[in-house]
Amino acid sequence: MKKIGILLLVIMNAVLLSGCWDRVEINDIAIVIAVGVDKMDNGDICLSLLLPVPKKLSSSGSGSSGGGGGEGNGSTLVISESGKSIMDAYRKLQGKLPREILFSHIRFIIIGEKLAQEGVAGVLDFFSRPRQSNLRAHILFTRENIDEVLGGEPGIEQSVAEMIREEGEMGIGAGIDLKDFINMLNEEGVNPWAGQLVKLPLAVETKKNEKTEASKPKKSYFSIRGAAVFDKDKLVGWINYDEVRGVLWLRDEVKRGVGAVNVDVPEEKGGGKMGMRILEAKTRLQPKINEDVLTIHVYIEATTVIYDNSSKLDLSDPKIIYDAEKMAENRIKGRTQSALDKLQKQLQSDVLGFGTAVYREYPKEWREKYKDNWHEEFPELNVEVACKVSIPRVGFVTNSLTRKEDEIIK
Amino acid sequence: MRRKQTIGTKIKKLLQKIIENIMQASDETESEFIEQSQSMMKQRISQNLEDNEAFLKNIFDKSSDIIFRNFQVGKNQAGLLIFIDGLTNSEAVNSDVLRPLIQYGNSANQEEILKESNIKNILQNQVITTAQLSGGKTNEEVVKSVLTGDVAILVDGMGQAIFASMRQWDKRSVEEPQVEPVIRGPREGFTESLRTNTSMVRRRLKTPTLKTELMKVGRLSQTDVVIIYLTGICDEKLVDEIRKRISRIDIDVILDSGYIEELIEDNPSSVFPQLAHTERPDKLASSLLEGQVGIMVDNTPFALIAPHPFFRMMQAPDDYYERALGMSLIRLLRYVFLFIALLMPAVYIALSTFHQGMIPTELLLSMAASRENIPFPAFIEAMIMEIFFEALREAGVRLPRPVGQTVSIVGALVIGQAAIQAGIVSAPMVITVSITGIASFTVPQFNQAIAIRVLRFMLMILAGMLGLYGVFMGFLVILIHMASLRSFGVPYLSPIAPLELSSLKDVFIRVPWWAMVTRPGFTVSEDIKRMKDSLRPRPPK
Repeated sequence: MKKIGILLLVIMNAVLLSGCWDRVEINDIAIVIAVGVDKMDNGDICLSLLLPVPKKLSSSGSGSSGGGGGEGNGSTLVISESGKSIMDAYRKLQGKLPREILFSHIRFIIIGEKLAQEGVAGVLDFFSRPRQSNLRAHILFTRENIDEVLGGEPGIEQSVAEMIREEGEMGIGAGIDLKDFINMLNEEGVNPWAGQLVKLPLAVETKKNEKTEASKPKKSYFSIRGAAVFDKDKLVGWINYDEVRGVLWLRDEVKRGVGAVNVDVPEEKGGGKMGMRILEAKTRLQPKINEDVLTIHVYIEATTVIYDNSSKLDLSDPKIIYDAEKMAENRIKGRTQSALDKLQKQLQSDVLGFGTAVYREYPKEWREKYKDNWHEEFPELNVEVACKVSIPRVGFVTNSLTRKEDEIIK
Repeated sequence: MRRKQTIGTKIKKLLQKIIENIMQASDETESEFIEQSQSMMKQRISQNLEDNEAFLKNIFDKSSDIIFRNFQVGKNQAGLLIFIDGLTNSEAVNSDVLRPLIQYGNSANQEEILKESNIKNILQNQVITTAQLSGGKTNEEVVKSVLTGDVAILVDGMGQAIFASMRQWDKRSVEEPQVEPVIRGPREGFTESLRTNTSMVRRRLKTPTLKTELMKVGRLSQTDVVIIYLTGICDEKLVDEIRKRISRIDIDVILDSGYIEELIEDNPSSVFPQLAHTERPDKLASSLLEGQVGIMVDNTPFALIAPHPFFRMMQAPDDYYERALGMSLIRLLRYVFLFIALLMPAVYIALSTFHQGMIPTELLLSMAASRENIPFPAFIEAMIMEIFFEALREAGVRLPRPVGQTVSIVGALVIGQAAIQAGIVSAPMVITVSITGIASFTVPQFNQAIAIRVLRFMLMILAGMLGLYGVFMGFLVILIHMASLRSFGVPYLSPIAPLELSSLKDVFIRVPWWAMVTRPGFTVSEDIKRMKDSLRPRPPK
């Protein structure tokens, strides 16, 4: 009996004295869904947080007066503070907020151009070290004003954070998350890259109408279009949308089902356009050292289906399909070539993982010869791109709907 | 007359002392007085009917339901019938006992009757027309058989008693089991009458190997307890053990099998019940066929089944009557809901107060929105709701049926609508509590479900203090406890721990009957084969 009493006492002490210390209710935390970091002109670091305001989130069944909801901007709050370091800014922010900041749910981290040029290692450390870190958050860079991005129009989603995360998951642009970025930063022979957020008009103007334009404020939204290219943790430059597609081809990151290849049919074959959707894509890097000359062979294999066809080509003819395949191959080659040109000649940063491929194929040569001066080797590298596209299906309609039989070029 | 009274007062005093001493429960004197009273009771029945009548009238003092009927056998020989009104079939008493006795004397030779030696034979063989007759020589036997509902016949000069068994009392008819309903399967349930119950099992197992051993338990109640088992399938040692544990019981009264359950358990301080109870004869029969032993108690429709390992509680009778595939899936569903019933509120508390990072973002935001105005911490909120739910359930059981429905409707409205609108509890909490509430009813064994409920509260407290760490520590403690528990020598977690592969066919899934060739090995020792090997139906060749 006495023993049981002592045991109970020990258990009670262990539970009651040690328990509850880090307990915090949901209505006492400030859930951060997006973070922006940039360097200010005076050299301080500015940390901005995007917080949803729970009482304004539309929730059915709650007995609140039910105003607010819907308009979007009211349901989130952007709060920012500057400090000597990111930790300093964070401490000041925590002082500003009545609730405990929770970083576990950040959907993306956006970093301004100025800070990125000086190096992002410190920022990444802050977001990956604590247990609240969310390594699946997308990392993005922008030339725009960070507060404007966070306070932007959420579109059909509930918040900007959700909108941009969903876009990143789509896989059309560069959807790099924190984990990928850190991996690229630490891996031998590859430099990190990440998506670039740009400001776009919400709707494309089809007709100039000055009257309505004056009365309506022009709406804009942010989208992942280009990408930021790094050398180690420092930003060296930006690439545009077409070059991003090329990089994705080379990095074997073209996701099945979403990408498209648009082919211009040359005039001598009747002109027009043909659009294809990528079903499957596979890229293989094969470095070869031949008499001390390093060449990277890139083999791209893709399967596409034709989605639209405004040309005069007869798609029921296997020969024509063969021609279409060739055209698509050229198109992909062109894209990769433009990306390669930009990366090799202009930015001189290997975000494609060529170095890694060499390291895997020739570890000894890599260590002895290339590792230390890869930065100089990369721009001079020979790259051979071979592409093979197959079109197994043309869709329900064989030829273009409006073309007559005699117009079709056999 | 004088003598009669003195004996009467003596006995009366003695009995009073006995009762007083039993109340005081002082060991030394108690045994002494019991001995004395027993010696009185064990005395032979007197030749003198008046003495006997006085003795019995004193024993059955102030008992309005006990009928003493004096009559005359033949010309002048006095006789006495003693029986309890309501326990005997009075019509049969009139026609089979009383009328022949009175009429007999008119035609018979007086001299014959007077002879002590043959009174009993004559009465038994020529007069009384009841099927079940027995005799007794001591006062004790008279008292006992009268109390069990027999008619005691005493005749002057006989020196012994004849007991005519014409028990009949009002019984509830066989009805559908109230707490173990099935969708498909037999719909008859046990009643309060032990004989009806044993006959229901006997009807299902028409084999001489079905044994029904009778024991009497309870000093005052003298309750019939039947140990029912199949020799050749169940382990003899198990029956011995159960017999030993039941004979150990020395209690004044057994009102339900629950008394016996608590008195013969292996580990009485555990929350987990180590015996099952059932209202269903088919369930009892199937348990007997798997080597378990049934304990049936008079005056209750609930029979006990021992041993009862944990995984048996997930088996419902329907599982075996409906098709195997569907019922296997339903059984898996029961396992899922077992975990929900045990863990869901605890995990909800832990996640929402310690590990918000583990909740999906959209869910967290909607939880945050609905928790915005809630005054209580999640732990208190959960406790309020869980206790309220348990109270509702309890009220539903206690209240008369027409009112019960009103209570559940009002309760549901109060919890579901008003409490949320008033901002006292949040909607996710109501969802959690109601899912948990429903989940706890998917466990087929009610007493096991109670254990799960108790443990749920323990885990909730741990979750409120230590978060998921506490939940998993608590879960581990429960698991260790279960692994150490035994039910009549069978490990509580068998056949999972210790693992017995061939018995797994009826744990998480239920294989079709043609594949259920062997009985589970953890309870059965011999005769393990249930059927022929090749019973799988096939098209003819």
